[in-house]
Amino acid sequence: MSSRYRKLEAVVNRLQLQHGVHAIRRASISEAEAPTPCLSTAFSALDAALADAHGKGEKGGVPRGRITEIVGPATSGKVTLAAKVLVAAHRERNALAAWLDPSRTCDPDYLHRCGVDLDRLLIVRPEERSDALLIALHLIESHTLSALVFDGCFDTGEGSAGETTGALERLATVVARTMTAVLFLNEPTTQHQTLAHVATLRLAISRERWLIQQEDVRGYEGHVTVLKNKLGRAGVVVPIRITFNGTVRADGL
Amino acid sequence: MANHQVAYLWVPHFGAVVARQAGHGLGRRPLVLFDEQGRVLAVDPEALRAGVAEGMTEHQATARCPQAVFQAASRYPIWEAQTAFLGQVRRFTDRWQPAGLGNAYLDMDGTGMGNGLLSWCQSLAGEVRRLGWEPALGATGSKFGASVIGQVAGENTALLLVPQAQRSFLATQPVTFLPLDPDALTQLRYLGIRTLGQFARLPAAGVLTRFGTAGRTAQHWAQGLDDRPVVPPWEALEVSAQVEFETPLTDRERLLAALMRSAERLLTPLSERFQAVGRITLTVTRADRRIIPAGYTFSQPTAALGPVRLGLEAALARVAWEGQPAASVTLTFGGISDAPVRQLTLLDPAAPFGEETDVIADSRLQLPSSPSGVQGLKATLDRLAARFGSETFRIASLTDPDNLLPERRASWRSFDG
Amino acid sequence: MTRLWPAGDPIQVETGADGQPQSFLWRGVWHPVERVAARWRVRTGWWAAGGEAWREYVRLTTVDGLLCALYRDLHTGAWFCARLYD
Repeated sequence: MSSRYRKLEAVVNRLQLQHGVHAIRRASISEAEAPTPCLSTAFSALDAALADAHGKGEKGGVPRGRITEIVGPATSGKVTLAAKVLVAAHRERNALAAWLDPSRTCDPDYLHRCGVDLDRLLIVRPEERSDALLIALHLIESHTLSALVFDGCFDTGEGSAGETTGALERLATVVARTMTAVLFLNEPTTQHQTLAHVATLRLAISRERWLIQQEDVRGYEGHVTVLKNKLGRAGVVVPIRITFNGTVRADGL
Repeated sequence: MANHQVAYLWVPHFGAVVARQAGHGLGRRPLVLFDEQGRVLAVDPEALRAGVAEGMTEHQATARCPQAVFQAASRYPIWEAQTAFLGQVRRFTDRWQPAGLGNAYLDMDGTGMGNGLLSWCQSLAGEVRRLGWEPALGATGSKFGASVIGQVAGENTALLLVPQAQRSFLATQPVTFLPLDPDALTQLRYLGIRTLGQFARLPAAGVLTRFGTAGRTAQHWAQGLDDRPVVPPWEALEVSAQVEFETPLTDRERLLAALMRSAERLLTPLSERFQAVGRITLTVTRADRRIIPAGYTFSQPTAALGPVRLGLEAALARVAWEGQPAASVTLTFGGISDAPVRQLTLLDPAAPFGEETDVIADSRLQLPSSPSGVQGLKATLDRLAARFGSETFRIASLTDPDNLLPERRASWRSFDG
Repeated sequence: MTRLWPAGDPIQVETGADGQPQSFLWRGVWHPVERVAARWRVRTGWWAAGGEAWREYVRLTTVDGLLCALYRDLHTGAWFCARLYD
């Protein structure tokens, strides 16, 4: 027992003798005792499915300081889901987020309709797609982002497989030291084995039916499958609904 | 006051810890980090044990710990880490106040004593630990009490003390916890005063006579009577004074001297309350009636005349004089907060290290009290833009949300546009 | 979110006798149209920021599950993909 600990014990014992056992309370601090903070997905069933593991009544969602992969084909809703996570991130005062957009197809109008604060969203369009991971690493190391979304960084397969693997492993280490929720959005055909390995959470999203109103498509329903969850249950399937009519709404809002 | 609860959260040796985490082959030797003015900004435990303290010159630090590694703090992401640290703090409460690098006070009123409070403290400290640091947390009925308890707790420990037990707890703690200057601590040592309890029992009149108003304030704290509120950065006070010249001044030295006299008058009551200023704002009215603002931000709050003088010089250098003399100047000290909590040092108080000239650093570095959008990322983005091109980093604005063509609804600018 | 191609992503469209798109070739893949949900025209004057545009938009779903907005440039007759919902 270190001398510092002995002195602390002596202080605690003396005060408890003088003022009662509840006068001074001591607790150790460890990561395991604190629930993983997370950002709501805005889909209440999904949040609930992701909250179960904490067991402390904390609201669930995409974990901060971890990597989440969302896999789904086009029009599955994965990009909308990511946008809703950014909305949750922006609820904190002065919180910042970033969107890695190597394909240069990010739609600010739609993000705004989802509720994203564009003034607090950095959109990154690297000239070389292969720079995306490195840029993300630097941004995350700045400790200033609440969330960062990679939108389709593996599409072209540029860069050697070894370089990408190394970069992802380093990214996972760096992310764990921050409070940044990192989301990778991928099509089923562009998944990366290392990403699947380092991700804390993997979600598969798919659309099932259109929501038709006055003959126009006003949204769609689908489901999300929790493929992997290091913090709780995997294999859960939850329904989701996305509607758009001026603003974009997820169920639960 | 009996129900008032304050937490003090800190990461010991924060600057040195961040530097070591950044790697770069620092090895196992003691570590001392310097600011841009060549003053000690942060030390690790080994250097602290050797007697190196914040504010020392390189010469003084080298004399005490010649085997240390001496590095420029600017090489490491200390300010980014401070941003992350405070980011965690403000997730738990809107009532928070920075107390130095890796230090903060939190107002816990409303959480209540009992299991809820302990869990709250554990969660807060756990989040900081998740960032790779080892925090300590102390909580009781006052800022001073909480800071002492937090420092006694040690890494990875939270200590919660009922407010009514504060005085008992403080009584046996070293008097060096008080933010008194080295001369005062030396005098106490010669008087045989070693503990806060002994200091608390000294006659009040004698303390006032010998140590002034600051000493009397410190004595109140030692008695568990510290009613300072937790003041968030956006509520920080300002104090101002205006200096008018019968004949407009062109002589910069005389102008500086006049400002220093005003500065001393403004700083004295702050020093007596162990408060410090975060920034200087000058509003200069030139002889041609044009009003020119200029300012300077300190990297750490200070009330010492040395760094304040340097700050005034820097601010005056930024004024667009255009050959015009100054008819009047309004001096404003803003960002008033508590002086940074200093870690205990084993420094022999009989050998004080001289006048404290605190850190004056690049005024671009801002604590995240009110970052506006992506400006909080600016330092990182400047660096990345130099490497990857500024057009890589964009911000979109919906400048024409009703445009019938979707691609024309938003306009783009680079992050520094 | 929708993905947006500000300059439009060129596509090749097969239309029926009524002029409705029946399928389109986009990035090497043919997408049979399931449903045309909405059609509208946009015309901006030459003075508009970005210049004149005269387009007919079609929002449609495809058999393979896409929801997208295509448009035909009424000056040139060329087809483009403007937005893909995701």
